[in-house]
Amino acid sequence: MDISKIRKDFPILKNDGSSKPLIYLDTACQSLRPQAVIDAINQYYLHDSACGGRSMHRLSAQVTHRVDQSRTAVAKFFHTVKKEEIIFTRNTTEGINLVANSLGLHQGDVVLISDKEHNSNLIPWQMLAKKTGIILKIVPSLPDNTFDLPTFEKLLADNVKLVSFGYTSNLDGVSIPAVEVIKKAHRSGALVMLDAAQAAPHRAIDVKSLDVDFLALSGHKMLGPSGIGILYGKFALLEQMTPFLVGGDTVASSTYDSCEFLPAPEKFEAGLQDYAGIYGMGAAVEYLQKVGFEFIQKQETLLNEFITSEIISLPGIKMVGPADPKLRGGIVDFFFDGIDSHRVALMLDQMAGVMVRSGQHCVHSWFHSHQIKGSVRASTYFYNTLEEAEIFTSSLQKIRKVL
Amino acid sequence: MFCIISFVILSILGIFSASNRELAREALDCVLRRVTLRPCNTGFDEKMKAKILGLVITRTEKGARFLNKNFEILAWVFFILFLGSGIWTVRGFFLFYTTGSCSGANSSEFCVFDPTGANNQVSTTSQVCTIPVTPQQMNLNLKKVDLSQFPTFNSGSDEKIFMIACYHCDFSRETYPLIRDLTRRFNVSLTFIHYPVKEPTDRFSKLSYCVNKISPEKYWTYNDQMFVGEKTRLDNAAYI
Repeated sequence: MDISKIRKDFPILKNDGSSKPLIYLDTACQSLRPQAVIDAINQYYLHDSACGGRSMHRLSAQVTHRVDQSRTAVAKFFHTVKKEEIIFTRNTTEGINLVANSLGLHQGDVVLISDKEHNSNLIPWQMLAKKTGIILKIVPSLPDNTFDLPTFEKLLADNVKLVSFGYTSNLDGVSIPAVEVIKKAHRSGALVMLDAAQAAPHRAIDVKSLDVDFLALSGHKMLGPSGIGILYGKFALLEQMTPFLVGGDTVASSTYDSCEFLPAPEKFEAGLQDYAGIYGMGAAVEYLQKVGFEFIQKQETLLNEFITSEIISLPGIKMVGPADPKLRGGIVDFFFDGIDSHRVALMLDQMAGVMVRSGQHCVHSWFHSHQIKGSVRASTYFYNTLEEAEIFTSSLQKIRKVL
Repeated sequence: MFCIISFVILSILGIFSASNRELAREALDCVLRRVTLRPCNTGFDEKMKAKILGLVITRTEKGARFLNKNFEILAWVFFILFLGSGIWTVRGFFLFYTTGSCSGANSSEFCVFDPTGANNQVSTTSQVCTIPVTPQQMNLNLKKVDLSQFPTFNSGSDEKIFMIACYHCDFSRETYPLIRDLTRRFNVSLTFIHYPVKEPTDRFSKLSYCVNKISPEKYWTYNDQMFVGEKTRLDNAAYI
């Protein structure tokens, strides 16, 4: 794949020479969008601006058809058994909340999470523990932040009903050994949910061969629009779950006293949906399939290896996660002792237009437990180049000399 | 400290730029917190410091290093300079209001509000003036008094005021501005005769005579100045 051709697909990367350079290294927060996704969104607002699945007229039929097309495309992308296993949500957070509130966990049920979960996969379980009395247990990572499989196995013995892990950590880019985790969890009778927000944009996921029970992800991290997400769930499980967000289009019929819920996925998609977002999501998965995960992973590894080799020897630098860049996907997370991470990020932007994330990345729990104030996270994607990585590392070197 | 200076500078820049207006609002929030003894936890100072360092580092690494190390001290220096220039500016406004020149009376320094120096022309002091008759030797009965040798403002008017006063007399100093106001508003003629109330003020009669003789066009400006401000200034030879 020709990276310069790929970059032309992203309007925001067009450098007309008049504005500050844009070196976007914050894909872990949100990715950039290709023209194809923008066009799909515009298609809805310009030509199809109507409700789907309700009215009988031509526009409504068009929208219904496109929504179905997108759902099918997403289902194919994740190799689901049927497209009805794909629920459109707003984002990963909503997907996890949906499972937390609809799965029917009771007092005494144990939920396992890791020690470096995004708040979206921590807070819902904390709230559920307060509301229904579930027991939340934390699986600690190894000292280099990789997954501790033996400890996980030990904790599985304790009446675990659900294992909810981040497939790839937004903190350090480390992925869990999902296949082994799911096998061991199932053997113990536990269901498995994976937070795939950081994994889905960077690796091929086959939910059938993984045999995962639930998978939540966000469209905005994988070239899709903001405000659209996906929750995959095994159909048999979804059928048993009672929706927690209900209203229009979740029921086939209703009286003053009762209602008849629609089957999945409709019973979980309350109210008018983000049709433009759904259009865009369909276009996003098609674009990703065109680019190919092989190229994506190759590019990320190349960039991560380069960046790591250039900055590892900076005085006072501490990497978050394992030293081996191959274990961290596209993420390089680091901090300097005694130097505010926000200052570094601001200076990178001011000096060279390099955009990174700084702070605690919504993983406050990990930072508090390690008594670290915050870090700088650079996250690359297939549209970043080696030149951009060079500018980032040279700017960081200059900053280190000054601060 | 930094927030105060930032607020002032960003407020001025904010007249021309919306993004600076936003920063000025943040700075104001920080200032208000500090003056009410609350911590400024908006991160504004960190943000601005990083922006400034980011700008400087692209030009000079040494400069950025120096700036980073001494940021707080430099902020204090700027603050003191800012206070100083503020006081100097207010002084300039006051002097311009009272003397017509922001550098004060009899100063040849440039004043931006009086660029040509028209309000503050320094007369030459090298001329010799012979005084033939001192005013106290004259017959002071107005009927037979030849008033032509005394300075007269607006001599063509039919309405005439003759003021006999002394620069050192408190009552004269109180009355003079009112008389001058009358002459301006009602087109009245004013003849001023300096009468020395006390012996030490005799020199002013001579001074008045000479000013009127050498630079009659500047007489009334001189005369107005003599009645303005504290009368103790009249005893200051440098002021005269």
